[in-house]
Amino acid sequence: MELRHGLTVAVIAFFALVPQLAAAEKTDPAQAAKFIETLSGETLTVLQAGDSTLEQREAHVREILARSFDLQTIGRFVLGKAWNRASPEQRQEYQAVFAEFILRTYSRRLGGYAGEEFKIVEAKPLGKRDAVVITEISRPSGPPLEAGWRIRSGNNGLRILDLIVEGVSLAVTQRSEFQTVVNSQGVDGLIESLRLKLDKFSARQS
Amino acid sequence: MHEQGTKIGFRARTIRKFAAAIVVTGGFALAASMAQSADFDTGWQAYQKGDFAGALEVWRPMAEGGDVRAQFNLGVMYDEGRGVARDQAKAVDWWSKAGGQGDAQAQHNVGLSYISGTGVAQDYGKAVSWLEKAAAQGLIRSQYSLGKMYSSGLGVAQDDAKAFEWIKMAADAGFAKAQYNLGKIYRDGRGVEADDSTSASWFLAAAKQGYAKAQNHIGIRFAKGRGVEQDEVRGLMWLTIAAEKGHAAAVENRKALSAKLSADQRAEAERLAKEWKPGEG
Repeated sequence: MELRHGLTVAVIAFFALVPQLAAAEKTDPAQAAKFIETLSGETLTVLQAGDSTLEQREAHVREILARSFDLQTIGRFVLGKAWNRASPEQRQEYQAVFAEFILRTYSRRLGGYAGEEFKIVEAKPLGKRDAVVITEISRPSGPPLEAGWRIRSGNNGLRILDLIVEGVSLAVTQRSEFQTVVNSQGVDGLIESLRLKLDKFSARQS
Repeated sequence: MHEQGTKIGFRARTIRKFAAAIVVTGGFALAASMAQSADFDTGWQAYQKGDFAGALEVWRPMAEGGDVRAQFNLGVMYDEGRGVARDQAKAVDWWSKAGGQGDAQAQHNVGLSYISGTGVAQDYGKAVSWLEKAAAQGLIRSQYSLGKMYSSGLGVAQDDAKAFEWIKMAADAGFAKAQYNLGKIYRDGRGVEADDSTSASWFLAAAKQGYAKAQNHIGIRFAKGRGVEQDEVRGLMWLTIAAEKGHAAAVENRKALSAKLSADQRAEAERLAKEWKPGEG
């Protein structure tokens, strides 16, 4: 109950943060479902290309993600209240490093995905202007994984705003992780810690 | 069904682990090392396919037997949560083992973990000593990070001269971030005499590599003719390239400079920006 309440508060906060346009367009769930279907098709084609290296597949997935996620909106939400106090320079630095961090994290997660079954269960409106597309990913062992994609229609077309896995919003989770760092080390500390994460070396062949 | 399968799988892995331990400790040093190399590649192939569980199965016993590459990669898998639950403490453990055996990239990763306090308690002093080891081996990213530690006095006494030395080393080796920082160091005269033209040439070097912040800086330099010969079209070209990458300050600077130029100049800058490729200036 506690958690549910926390999530509701966070979701409301999300709306409060995102500038509401006077004539905010509603996102059509059917279109959102089509958007996710196209994206998953594109992604699966990349992942199933047998002759490519993991690094190549990840770079390709990353490029797909870069044009499908609304990274600016997600970045603002995830930084929480600290966004309002941040200077223009801090916002710039943060958004750049946050985008890189998210793209790398997700392309790595998806790039290593072996291409299990993926199906769209349903699409429905969410809140005042978004839609959520519920998908099911079957796994070689264990029950299928349910994931909800929060989609918003904006000036640049449809964009993903959040991923809800087994009822948990990744944006909300990320937000509370960042909050801890911001509380102890400020926005500059958060930027620096993201940068350090990106500067590590990854797996190698020899 | 699943439960049982898991148990059997576990037993098979344990036996394999046990067998690997016998081979390693058995004294057949050459045979063992040859077998290890073949094994390592098997692990790499599984990793490339996205079969992280398979890679772990091969690399874990090797890492436990002291193989540096396997130790390093196992650390990465724990850090990135590939095939295992993410566990940064275990990542640092494996990297420390590999780093202790002299692996520079592992030393670098341990150093950064101590700076951010992920998997270990934050400790700038320890971070510096790990980064020093990797930097001394010629690892460019560590040289740069060490320079930043000296520049902000974290884990060492603040020292602009030493910061300059390390950052210059990484910049000379072609590391874009270090080149950009060196541009700022020459602009501000920290640890070296201020020099606008050297500063501009480092901003340009980083800009050519596609570093957006440096592109914004060099764009302004060309617009104002500071440290370079004034060339407003070239300035607008750089600001356009950076703005199109989403650099917010460059978006503003581009607008301001555009307003001062003729339609022909704007079109020329636009064309140059469109034709620009990394490496060009």
